[in-house]
Parts: sequence; C-alpha cells; structure tokens
Amino acid sequence: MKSDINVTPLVDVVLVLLIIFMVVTPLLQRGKAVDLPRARLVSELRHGGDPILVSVTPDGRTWLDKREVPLLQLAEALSAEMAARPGTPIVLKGDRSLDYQRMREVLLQVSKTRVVGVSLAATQVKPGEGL
Amino acid sequence: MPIALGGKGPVHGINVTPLIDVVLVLLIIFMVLTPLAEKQMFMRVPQYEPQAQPVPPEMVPPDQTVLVLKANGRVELNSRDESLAEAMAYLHAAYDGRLSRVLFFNAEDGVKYETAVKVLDLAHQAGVNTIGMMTDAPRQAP
Repeated sequence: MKSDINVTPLVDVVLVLLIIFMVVTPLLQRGKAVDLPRARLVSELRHGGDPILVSVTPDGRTWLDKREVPLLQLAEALSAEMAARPGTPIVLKGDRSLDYQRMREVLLQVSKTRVVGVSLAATQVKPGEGL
Repeated sequence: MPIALGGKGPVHGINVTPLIDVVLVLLIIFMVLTPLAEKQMFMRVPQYEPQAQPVPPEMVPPDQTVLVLKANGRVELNSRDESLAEAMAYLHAAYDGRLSRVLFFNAEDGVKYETAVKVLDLAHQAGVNTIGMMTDAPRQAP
C-alpha cells in the first residue's frame, strides 16, 4: 500500500529546468568580468550562438575570452579565433570607467581582422531607472 | 526496490525529499541569476585600410552623419558644435524614413567609455541602427 503521492514526475520536471538554466547561464556571462556601461536600447545577439569575447578591464589590459592577450597581438589572436570558428559574432566588453582612447585603440586592432560587425556589451536599464 | 530491514517488512522507495529541497534551491538560484546577464548593442567597425587617405570634412557626402563627442560634454555633428540634445533632435528628424541609418561615431581621448555608450544609446533611440566606429583620433579643437 502506498501512502505518499508520486513525486517522480515533479523531480523529472525540476531537474530538466535546472539543467536548462545551468546550460544557459554560462553562455550569458562569459569572458573576463568587467563593469559594463549601461544603456536603455539593447538587443540580444540574434545569431551565431556562442560569441567571441574581447574584454577590456579597467587597467586597460585586453582579454580574448578568458586569456590575456596584449593589445598588439590582439588582431592576430582574434583572426586565429575567427578562422577556427567562422561566423561567430564578436562582442566587445569594455569597462565603463575606461577612457575612450583605450577603446579606440582596441577597436583599431579589432578592425584589422576585417570583421564586418562587432557588438558592444552593455547592461540594460529599465525605462524607469536612471543611467 | 525493497530492502529487508531486520525482517520487519520491505521499505518502499528511497526518501527523495532532501533531493527535491536541494534541487529546488539550486533552481531558484539560477532563475534569479539569469536575468542579470548582460545584453549587447550592435555596431560596425569600418574595415582597416592602412593606405586610405583621410577624407577631408568638406568632402563628406551630405547624407553621411559624423558625430564626435567632445570631452566637455558637447558634440560635433558634421563639424558643427552643438549640445547633445540639439544633436539628438537633428538625428530624430534626419533619420526618419531614411533607409540607411548609419551614424559615424568618434569621441575625444578624455571621454569616458561610459559616456560614449550613453551617447550611442541616445543615438539608437533617435533611430540610428548601425554605428560606424571611427578608429583614428579626432583632430583636437585648436
């Protein structure tokens, strides 16, 4: 005789949800952690999936995904990465406290790879909140 | 699976309640963290052309808009000095119904990246859909 309710379907559903969130979360927060600038009008990356991340930390150092790459070798390293994963979008994550000069230098290196489009990462703010 | 415990009859199933507790807590943690993830803005970097001659300002075609953000918070829109609000009002009017909504953007060296993104965000709201980032420093005001 069984006195408990059957919890097996509940456990199944919850485990599947858990796995989905565990897979999705690292895709959304990758690369070096930086304090991103804020913007109201942002869009999700539409295609290509897992992006190549170029991060610039507040001290001006540049990172390709999780690996530190000096600025002058960035174009070469990024080209190699793009050749290995063709069609992958490129996202530039710059810290909000950086001077624009540094970002321009990074953009120049990125443009040397003859990439067509680059996305700038920003944190979305809701219409009610201040920037 | 029945397990005999001292001959007092079988126990049906293992106790799954602690498992459900742990899994539910993990699920809630991930559900809270996921919306905090960052989102992206789209822009375009012009291709690098080492031998390209810089185009003098008077040669820029009339439908091209070049916005330079200055360190004092004002902007230079096609070489005209304007306030940010005036420039955005101009962009609103100029980009309404236009097919190619490209804005070329540059900022002076002292400008914070945060401020530059704020201006790009305003330009997006004004109807620009593609931003061309200029990779050479703007000529400093005399």
